[in-house]
Amino acid sequence: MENKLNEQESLQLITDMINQARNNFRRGAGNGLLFWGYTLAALSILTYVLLVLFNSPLVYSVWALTIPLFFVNYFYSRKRYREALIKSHIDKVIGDVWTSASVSIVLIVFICYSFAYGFKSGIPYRLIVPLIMGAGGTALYITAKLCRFKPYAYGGIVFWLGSIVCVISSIATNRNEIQFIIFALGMIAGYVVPGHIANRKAEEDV
Amino acid sequence: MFKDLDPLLLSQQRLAIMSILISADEADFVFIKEKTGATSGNLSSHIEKLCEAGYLEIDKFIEKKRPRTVLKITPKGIDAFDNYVKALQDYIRK
Repeated sequence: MENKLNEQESLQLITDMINQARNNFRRGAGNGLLFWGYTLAALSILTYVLLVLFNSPLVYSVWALTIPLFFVNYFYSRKRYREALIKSHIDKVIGDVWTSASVSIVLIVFICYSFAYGFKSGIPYRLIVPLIMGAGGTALYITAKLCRFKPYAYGGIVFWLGSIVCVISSIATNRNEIQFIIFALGMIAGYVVPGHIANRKAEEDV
Repeated sequence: MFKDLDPLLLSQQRLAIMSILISADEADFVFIKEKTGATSGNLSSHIEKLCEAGYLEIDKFIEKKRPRTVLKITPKGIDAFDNYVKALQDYIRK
Protein backbone atom coordinates (compact mmCIF):
# COMPACT_ATOMS: atom_id res chain seq x y z
CA MET A 1 0.00 0.00 0.00
CA GLU A 2 1.35 3.44 -0.88
CA ASN A 3 0.36 6.40 1.25
CA LYS A 4 0.26 9.65 -0.71
CA LEU A 5 0.98 12.82 1.21
CA ASN A 6 -0.01 16.45 0.70
CA GLU A 7 2.67 19.20 0.52
CA GLN A 8 2.70 20.02 4.23
CA GLU A 9 2.78 16.36 5.26
CA SER A 10 5.62 15.70 2.80
CA LEU A 11 7.75 18.53 4.21
CA GLN A 12 6.97 17.41 7.76
CA LEU A 13 8.01 13.84 6.95
CA ILE A 14 11.26 15.05 5.35
CA THR A 15 12.08 17.17 8.43
CA ASP A 16 11.25 14.32 10.84
CA MET A 17 13.36 11.77 8.98
CA ILE A 18 16.34 14.12 8.63
CA ASN A 19 16.16 14.82 12.38
CA GLN A 20 15.94 11.09 13.13
CA ALA A 21 19.07 10.46 11.08
CA ARG A 22 20.98 13.45 12.48
CA ASN A 23 20.10 13.17 16.16
CA ASN A 24 20.49 9.46 16.35
CA PHE A 25 22.85 8.58 19.20
CA ARG A 26 24.13 5.05 18.81
CA ARG A 27 24.20 2.69 21.78
CA GLY A 28 27.52 3.28 23.57
CA ALA A 29 27.89 6.79 22.12
CA GLY A 30 29.56 7.99 25.32
CA ASN A 31 31.89 4.98 25.72
CA GLY A 32 34.96 6.83 24.40
CA LEU A 33 34.50 9.63 26.93
CA LEU A 34 33.85 7.13 29.74
CA PHE A 35 36.96 5.13 28.82
CA TRP A 36 39.24 8.17 28.84
CA GLY A 37 37.39 9.90 31.68
CA TYR A 38 37.76 7.02 34.16
CA THR A 39 41.25 6.02 32.97
CA LEU A 40 42.77 9.50 33.08
CA ALA A 41 41.04 10.37 36.37
CA ALA A 42 42.51 7.19 37.92
CA LEU A 43 45.98 7.91 36.50
CA SER A 44 45.81 11.49 37.80
CA ILE A 45 44.92 10.38 41.30
CA LEU A 46 47.66 7.74 41.17
CA THR A 47 50.17 10.40 40.04
CA TYR A 48 49.09 12.70 42.87
CA VAL A 49 49.46 9.96 45.50
CA LEU A 50 52.86 8.85 44.14
CA LEU A 51 54.11 12.46 43.99
CA VAL A 52 53.10 13.05 47.60
CA LEU A 53 54.75 9.78 48.67
CA PHE A 54 57.94 9.81 46.57
CA ASN A 55 58.22 13.25 44.93
CA SER A 56 60.24 11.75 42.07
CA PRO A 57 60.03 12.63 38.33
CA LEU A 58 59.87 8.85 37.71
CA VAL A 59 56.26 9.01 38.93
CA TYR A 60 55.25 10.57 35.60
CA SER A 61 56.17 7.34 33.81
CA VAL A 62 52.72 5.95 34.78
CA TRP A 63 51.42 8.12 31.91
CA ALA A 64 53.20 5.84 29.43
CA LEU A 65 50.17 3.57 29.97
CA THR A 66 48.14 5.99 27.84
CA ILE A 67 50.07 4.88 24.71
CA PRO A 68 48.75 1.27 24.56
CA LEU A 69 45.36 2.51 25.80
CA PHE A 70 45.23 4.98 22.90
CA PHE A 71 45.59 2.09 20.44
CA VAL A 72 42.99 -0.02 22.28
CA ASN A 73 40.50 2.86 22.04
CA TYR A 74 41.46 3.59 18.42
CA PHE A 75 40.75 0.04 17.25
CA TYR A 76 37.54 -0.15 19.31
CA SER A 77 36.29 3.15 17.78
CA ARG A 78 37.19 2.00 14.26
CA LYS A 79 35.29 -1.26 14.76
CA ARG A 80 32.26 0.62 16.11
CA TYR A 81 32.31 2.97 13.12
CA ARG A 82 32.53 0.07 10.66
CA GLU A 83 29.59 -1.69 12.28
CA ALA A 84 27.44 1.44 12.65
CA LEU A 85 23.95 1.27 11.16
CA ILE A 86 24.18 4.85 9.93
CA LYS A 87 27.25 6.88 8.99
CA SER A 88 27.14 10.59 8.47
CA HIS A 89 29.63 13.22 7.43
CA ILE A 90 29.39 14.61 10.98
CA ASP A 91 30.70 11.30 12.41
CA LYS A 92 33.78 11.62 10.22
CA VAL A 93 34.33 15.26 11.21
CA ILE A 94 34.01 14.39 14.93
CA GLY A 95 36.60 11.64 14.43
CA ASP A 96 38.92 14.17 12.77
CA VAL A 97 38.43 16.66 15.62
CA TRP A 98 39.53 14.06 18.20
CA THR A 99 42.43 12.90 16.04
CA SER A 100 43.69 16.49 15.76
CA ALA A 101 43.17 17.03 19.52
CA SER A 102 45.23 13.87 20.19
CA VAL A 103 48.03 15.14 17.92
CA SER A 104 47.92 18.51 19.73
CA ILE A 105 48.19 16.77 23.12
CA VAL A 106 51.21 14.75 21.98
CA LEU A 107 52.78 18.00 20.69
CA ILE A 108 52.06 19.78 23.99
CA VAL A 109 53.83 17.02 25.94
CA PHE A 110 56.74 16.98 23.47
CA ILE A 111 57.16 20.80 23.52
CA CYS A 112 56.98 21.07 27.31
CA TYR A 113 59.41 18.20 27.86
CA SER A 114 61.80 19.65 25.26
CA PHE A 115 61.80 23.09 26.93
CA ALA A 116 62.15 21.55 30.39
CA TYR A 117 65.11 19.46 29.24
CA GLY A 118 66.68 22.18 27.05
CA PHE A 119 66.48 24.95 29.66
CA LYS A 120 66.98 22.65 32.67
CA SER A 121 63.79 24.00 34.22
CA GLY A 122 60.81 22.28 35.82
CA ILE A 123 58.45 25.15 34.95
CA PRO A 124 57.42 23.85 31.47
CA TYR A 125 56.11 20.65 33.13
CA ARG A 126 53.54 22.79 34.90
CA LEU A 127 52.09 23.85 31.55
CA ILE A 128 51.27 20.30 30.43
CA VAL A 129 48.04 19.72 32.39
CA PRO A 130 46.45 23.18 31.76
CA LEU A 131 47.28 22.99 28.03
CA ILE A 132 45.92 19.43 27.72
CA MET A 133 42.72 20.56 29.48
CA GLY A 134 42.46 23.43 26.98
CA ALA A 135 42.85 21.09 23.98
CA GLY A 136 40.47 18.46 25.44
CA GLY A 137 37.89 21.16 26.22
CA THR A 138 38.09 22.51 22.67
CA ALA A 139 37.54 19.05 21.13
CA LEU A 140 34.60 18.42 23.46
CA TYR A 141 33.00 21.80 22.74
CA ILE A 142 33.26 21.34 18.95
CA THR A 143 31.79 17.82 19.31
CA ALA A 144 28.88 19.35 21.27
CA LYS A 145 28.18 21.84 18.48
CA LEU A 146 28.43 19.20 15.74
CA CYS A 147 26.07 16.71 17.37
CA ARG A 148 23.94 19.37 19.09
CA PHE A 149 24.37 17.83 22.52
CA LYS A 150 24.65 20.38 25.32
CA PRO A 151 26.23 18.17 28.05
CA TYR A 152 29.38 17.92 25.89
CA ALA A 153 29.51 21.74 25.68
CA TYR A 154 29.26 21.98 29.47
CA GLY A 155 32.06 19.39 29.67
CA GLY A 156 34.20 21.57 27.39
CA ILE A 157 33.57 24.62 29.57
CA VAL A 158 34.47 22.62 32.71
CA PHE A 159 37.78 21.76 31.04
CA TRP A 160 38.54 25.36 30.11
CA LEU A 161 37.77 26.51 33.66
CA GLY A 162 39.89 23.62 35.01
CA SER A 163 42.76 24.81 32.85
CA ILE A 164 42.60 28.29 34.43
CA VAL A 165 42.29 26.84 37.96
CA CYS A 166 45.39 24.68 37.30
CA VAL A 167 47.44 27.75 36.37
CA ILE A 168 46.23 29.77 39.37
CA SER A 169 46.77 26.91 41.83
CA SER A 170 50.23 26.18 40.45
CA ILE A 171 51.29 29.82 40.87
CA ALA A 172 49.61 30.23 44.26
CA THR A 173 51.01 27.05 45.83
CA ASN A 174 54.24 26.84 43.82
CA ARG A 175 53.56 23.09 43.58
CA ASN A 176 52.59 20.87 40.68
CA GLU A 177 50.72 17.93 42.20
CA ILE A 178 47.46 19.80 42.93
CA GLN A 179 46.98 20.03 39.14
CA PHE A 180 46.40 16.28 39.03
CA ILE A 181 43.51 16.52 41.48
CA ILE A 182 41.97 19.32 39.37
CA PHE A 183 42.55 17.22 36.23
CA ALA A 184 40.86 14.17 37.84
CA LEU A 185 37.86 16.28 38.89
CA GLY A 186 37.73 17.80 35.39
CA MET A 187 37.71 14.31 33.87
CA ILE A 188 34.80 13.22 36.06
CA ALA A 189 32.75 16.39 35.49
CA GLY A 190 33.79 17.00 31.88
CA TYR A 191 34.03 13.49 30.40
CA VAL A 192 32.42 10.90 32.68
CA VAL A 193 29.18 12.75 33.47
CA PRO A 194 28.45 13.79 29.81
CA GLY A 195 29.51 10.27 28.71
CA HIS A 196 26.87 8.65 30.94
CA ILE A 197 24.24 11.19 29.80
CA ALA A 198 25.10 10.38 26.14
CA ASN A 199 24.74 6.64 26.77
CA ARG A 200 21.38 7.16 28.47
CA LYS A 201 20.19 9.27 25.52
CA ALA A 202 21.41 6.55 23.13
CA GLU A 203 19.34 3.93 24.98
CA GLU A 204 16.29 6.17 24.58
CA ASP A 205 16.99 6.70 20.86
CA VAL A 206 17.27 2.97 20.08
CA MET B 1 -2.08 19.30 -7.75
CA PHE B 2 1.08 17.14 -7.81
CA LYS B 3 1.70 17.17 -11.54
CA ASP B 4 5.29 18.60 -11.32
CA LEU B 5 6.36 16.37 -8.46
CA ASP B 6 8.46 13.26 -9.04
CA PRO B 7 5.84 10.45 -8.84
CA LEU B 8 8.41 8.10 -7.34
CA LEU B 9 8.76 10.34 -4.28
CA LEU B 10 5.04 10.82 -3.74
CA SER B 11 4.99 7.61 -1.73
CA GLN B 12 5.39 8.17 2.01
CA GLN B 13 7.81 5.27 2.47
CA ARG B 14 10.03 6.18 -0.48
CA LEU B 15 10.18 9.82 0.60
CA ALA B 16 11.10 8.71 4.15
CA ILE B 17 13.92 6.49 2.80
CA MET B 18 15.30 9.32 0.66
CA SER B 19 15.04 11.82 3.55
CA ILE B 20 17.10 9.56 5.85
CA LEU B 21 19.75 8.95 3.20
CA ILE B 22 20.02 12.62 2.18
CA SER B 23 21.47 13.44 5.62
CA ALA B 24 23.72 10.37 5.94
CA ASP B 25 26.68 9.06 4.00
CA GLU B 26 25.13 5.61 4.20
CA ALA B 27 22.56 3.73 6.27
CA ASP B 28 21.83 0.10 7.02
CA PHE B 29 18.58 -1.54 5.94
CA VAL B 30 17.81 -2.31 9.62
CA PHE B 31 18.15 1.37 10.58
CA ILE B 32 15.83 2.51 7.78
CA LYS B 33 13.33 -0.19 8.69
CA GLU B 34 13.29 0.99 12.33
CA LYS B 35 12.92 4.67 11.46
CA THR B 36 10.26 4.26 8.76
CA GLY B 37 8.30 1.56 10.60
CA ALA B 38 7.97 -0.41 7.36
CA THR B 39 7.97 -4.18 7.09
CA SER B 40 11.02 -5.83 5.49
CA GLY B 41 9.11 -6.90 2.37
CA ASN B 42 7.49 -3.52 1.86
CA LEU B 43 10.77 -1.68 2.40
CA SER B 44 12.62 -3.99 -0.02
CA SER B 45 10.11 -3.29 -2.78
CA HIS B 46 10.39 0.51 -2.27
CA ILE B 47 14.19 0.29 -2.24
CA GLU B 48 14.12 -1.75 -5.44
CA LYS B 49 12.07 0.96 -7.20
CA LEU B 50 14.46 3.68 -6.02
CA CYS B 51 17.48 1.62 -7.15
CA GLU B 52 15.88 1.02 -10.57
CA ALA B 53 15.44 4.78 -10.95
CA GLY B 54 19.13 5.24 -10.13
CA TYR B 55 18.38 7.17 -6.92
CA LEU B 56 20.04 4.69 -4.57
CA GLU B 57 23.06 2.41 -4.52
CA ILE B 58 22.83 -0.85 -2.65
CA ASP B 59 25.72 -2.82 -1.15
CA LYS B 60 25.07 -6.33 0.17
CA PHE B 61 27.80 -8.16 2.05
CA ILE B 62 28.46 -10.58 4.89
CA GLU B 63 29.82 -9.24 8.18
CA LYS B 64 30.52 -11.57 11.09
CA LYS B 65 28.55 -14.33 9.34
CA ARG B 66 25.51 -12.04 9.07
CA PRO B 67 24.20 -10.51 5.86
CA ARG B 68 24.16 -6.70 5.77
CA THR B 69 22.51 -4.35 3.31
CA VAL B 70 23.84 -0.81 3.20
CA LEU B 71 22.20 1.94 1.17
CA LYS B 72 23.58 5.16 -0.23
CA ILE B 73 21.95 7.99 -2.14
CA THR B 74 23.41 8.69 -5.61
CA PRO B 75 24.05 12.15 -7.17
CA LYS B 76 20.94 11.52 -9.33
CA GLY B 77 18.98 10.78 -6.15
CA ILE B 78 20.24 13.99 -4.52
CA ASP B 79 19.12 16.02 -7.56
CA ALA B 80 15.71 14.32 -7.57
CA PHE B 81 15.29 15.01 -3.85
CA ASP B 82 16.34 18.66 -4.22
CA ASN B 83 13.91 19.18 -7.10
CA TYR B 84 11.14 17.53 -5.12
CA VAL B 85 11.70 19.81 -2.10
CA LYS B 86 11.86 22.91 -4.33
CA ALA B 87 8.62 21.91 -6.07
CA LEU B 88 6.94 21.37 -2.69
CA GLN B 89 8.08 24.78 -1.49
CA ASP B 90 6.71 26.36 -4.68
CA TYR B 91 3.32 24.74 -4.10
CA ILE B 92 3.22 25.99 -0.53
CA ARG B 93 4.14 29.55 -1.58
CA LYS B 94 1.32 29.63 -4.15
